[in-house]
Amino acid sequence: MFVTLWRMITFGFQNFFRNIWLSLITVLIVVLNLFLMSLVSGLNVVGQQTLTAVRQKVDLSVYFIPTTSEQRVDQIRQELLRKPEVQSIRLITRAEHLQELKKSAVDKGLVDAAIDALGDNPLGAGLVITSKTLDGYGAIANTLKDPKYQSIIEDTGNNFQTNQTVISRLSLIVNRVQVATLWLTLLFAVIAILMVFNTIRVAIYSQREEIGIMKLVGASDAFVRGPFVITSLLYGLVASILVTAVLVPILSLTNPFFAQFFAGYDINVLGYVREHLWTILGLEVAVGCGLSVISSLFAIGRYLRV
Amino acid sequence: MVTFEHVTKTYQRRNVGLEDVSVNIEAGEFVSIVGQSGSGKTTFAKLIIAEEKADKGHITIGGWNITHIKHHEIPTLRRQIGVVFQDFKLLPKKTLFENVAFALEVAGERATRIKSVVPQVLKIVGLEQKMDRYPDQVSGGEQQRVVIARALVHRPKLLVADEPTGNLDSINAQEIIALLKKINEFGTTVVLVTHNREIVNMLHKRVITLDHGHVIADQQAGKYLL
Repeated sequence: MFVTLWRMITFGFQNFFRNIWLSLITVLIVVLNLFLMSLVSGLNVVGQQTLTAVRQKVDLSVYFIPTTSEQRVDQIRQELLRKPEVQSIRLITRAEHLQELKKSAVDKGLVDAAIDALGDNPLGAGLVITSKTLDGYGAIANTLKDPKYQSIIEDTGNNFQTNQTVISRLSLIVNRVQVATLWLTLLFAVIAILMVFNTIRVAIYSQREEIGIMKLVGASDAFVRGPFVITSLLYGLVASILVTAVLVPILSLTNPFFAQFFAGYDINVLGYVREHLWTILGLEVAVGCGLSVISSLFAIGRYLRV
Repeated sequence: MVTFEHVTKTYQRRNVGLEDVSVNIEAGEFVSIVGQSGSGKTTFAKLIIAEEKADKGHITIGGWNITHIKHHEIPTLRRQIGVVFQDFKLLPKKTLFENVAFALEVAGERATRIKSVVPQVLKIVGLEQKMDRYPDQVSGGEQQRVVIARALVHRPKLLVADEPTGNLDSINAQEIIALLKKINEFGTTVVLVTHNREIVNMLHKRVITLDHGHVIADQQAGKYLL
């Protein structure tokens, strides 16, 4: 049993190295396809991260009339936190509200002059609400239309309506982008699988006479199949290591462009790859070897009927 | 050793390979199967090694009825028969040593025995000095001798040689036939499929003549009739 297994492994390695050009070409094709799959999967991850980042950028700010006490605002915050669609609520005190206004004002002197003229902070406290989903903002906005909140909320109505329209559009775009990337990933995956299958098929086709000879000399189906499976395993293993080895330097080179493109968003592609390097390598090996081995098992079957 | 009882083999479009052929070859015999192209000689050889299956009749090899042999039993049968092909059928990416060793490796033979037996067999066929070469690095005659070595290495009781001299010049052909005679003298049953008149007439052994799938002559110490 072990002798047979050892021989199959030895023949598999011999087959790989003694048909080195065939092996190199096959590995190259598997590399290209794994690279393509990695690229599409990477884009999918970046897309998902971007959409998550965009979602996180969306929030609903509610400011109350200055006479509303901060205790009351905090009470409203506690009430809203109990709503299932609410993810988090940040309370903005009146002082913080004023600081934000000063920061964003073009003419800070003018703001200071106006405050001095009024003699007191004219701004009320506020709440910055984040929803778990984009659709959740509509429900939160509806809750805030309740008369018990309406009477103390400054500037409601139209503002919510406008935000709601923008949020609905954004939600629609996000959903469509998600569906499109999913289909694109599937399409490229199918193309890659077919290309790898065909390459292995051609590699085995070129050795069909040898398979016939092995059978005529008395080799069992398993003894013929085994070395080809080992060789295919090597194709997948070498290809997946090469892809991972190529992917990291490419990402290192392109990372500054990504960082520039996603400025202000918490997206770090290189960091993600470094953090998940072993998982990515494992996935590459699993996909590369799995595809090659399954392809060879299918391809070799027809030549075993000698 | 080999018994064909009313064996018929028909290919697609009603091409007759063999039709109602009954032959009995005893252990230790040297039998030439002769006939023109399309007479059924190669079908006869292919039926012995279960490369083809008979449509009708019964085939028995060494007491084993292989008429309805199962796919997984075929390797066991082939490991008991030595086969020599016209086109050599050597594995091009294996050395001469590895080609001969392969016949033992498929049978699960121990590595130590393979290392001792293979050089001995290669010595018998005069190739012990070239065992590390690849098939494309030796001549046609030498390739055929490797094939004979591979067919002999597991000491089969039956050797089937299908046109073993077809791709060789007359000198190499004579050498191969001499080798087959020697193998037969050691007790191995040899079935030689050929259309080489000169060789058959020189052998003075049993000759079975086929024509259009039928046995038209079966002579002890016979000659090429057609």
